[in-house]
Amino acid sequence: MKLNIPKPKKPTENLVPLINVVFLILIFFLAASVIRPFSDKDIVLAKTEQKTTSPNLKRLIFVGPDGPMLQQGTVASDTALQSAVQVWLAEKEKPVTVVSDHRIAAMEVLKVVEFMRQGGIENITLLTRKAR
Amino acid sequence: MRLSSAPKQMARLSLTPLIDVVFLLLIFFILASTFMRFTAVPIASTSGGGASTPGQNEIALIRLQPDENGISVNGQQVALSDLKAMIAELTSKGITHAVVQPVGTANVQVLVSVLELLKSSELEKVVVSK
Repeated sequence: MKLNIPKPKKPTENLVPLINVVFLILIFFLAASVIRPFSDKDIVLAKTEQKTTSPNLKRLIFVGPDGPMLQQGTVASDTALQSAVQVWLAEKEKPVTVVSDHRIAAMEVLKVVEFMRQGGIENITLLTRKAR
Repeated sequence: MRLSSAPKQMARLSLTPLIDVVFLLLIFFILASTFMRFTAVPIASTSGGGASTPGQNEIALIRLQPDENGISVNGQQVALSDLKAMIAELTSKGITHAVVQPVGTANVQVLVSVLELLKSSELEKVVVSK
């Protein structure tokens, strides 16, 4: 006689510890890092020894070898810059942050700073990174 | 007659979609975030009006040259490591203001290093000029 014995069920893997670990890693990344405000593929910021001021990462102006950019990769025209300055002027107290590679000539950065000063923006900072 | 039906077993929630989403979030944050610590150096330019006009003897002119031995204070060559001592000496002689002027292709790193150093000095005001 053939007995119909039910096959033993495969025990299912317990996924809870895996989820716990993944959640922990997720929380670590959320707490310990900031979302990159711009692509740092071709921009290496200048180093500073001390952390001085916290930068405003929402009002950025990039300075590349070809001139100022409001968006990375596209050189901004004078009129585009002018209108950006007008928008920034509405909230004067918030700083505008200049982002440039550390190898760019300081003169290029100063030209952009001067342009913004003439437009009425006084609070201008240069973005740097703290050396480890 | 009352029949007692067997209690229904609650269907087990599948955890797989949850894990999928959590993994996606994790990958997003790993790719989009950076551990770089950003700081900012204020740039004061010459066009801003000051409260008082300093006399000629109260200003030091710091020129940043593009080459390696590249900083001169009032025409005197000085290395970046010696700049702090030089500025301390000048402030003790009554210098209160400094004008930093990059020359040619002197790069942003030099400017930032000098500005950071001057910020920790006794100088009242430091301006950057083209």
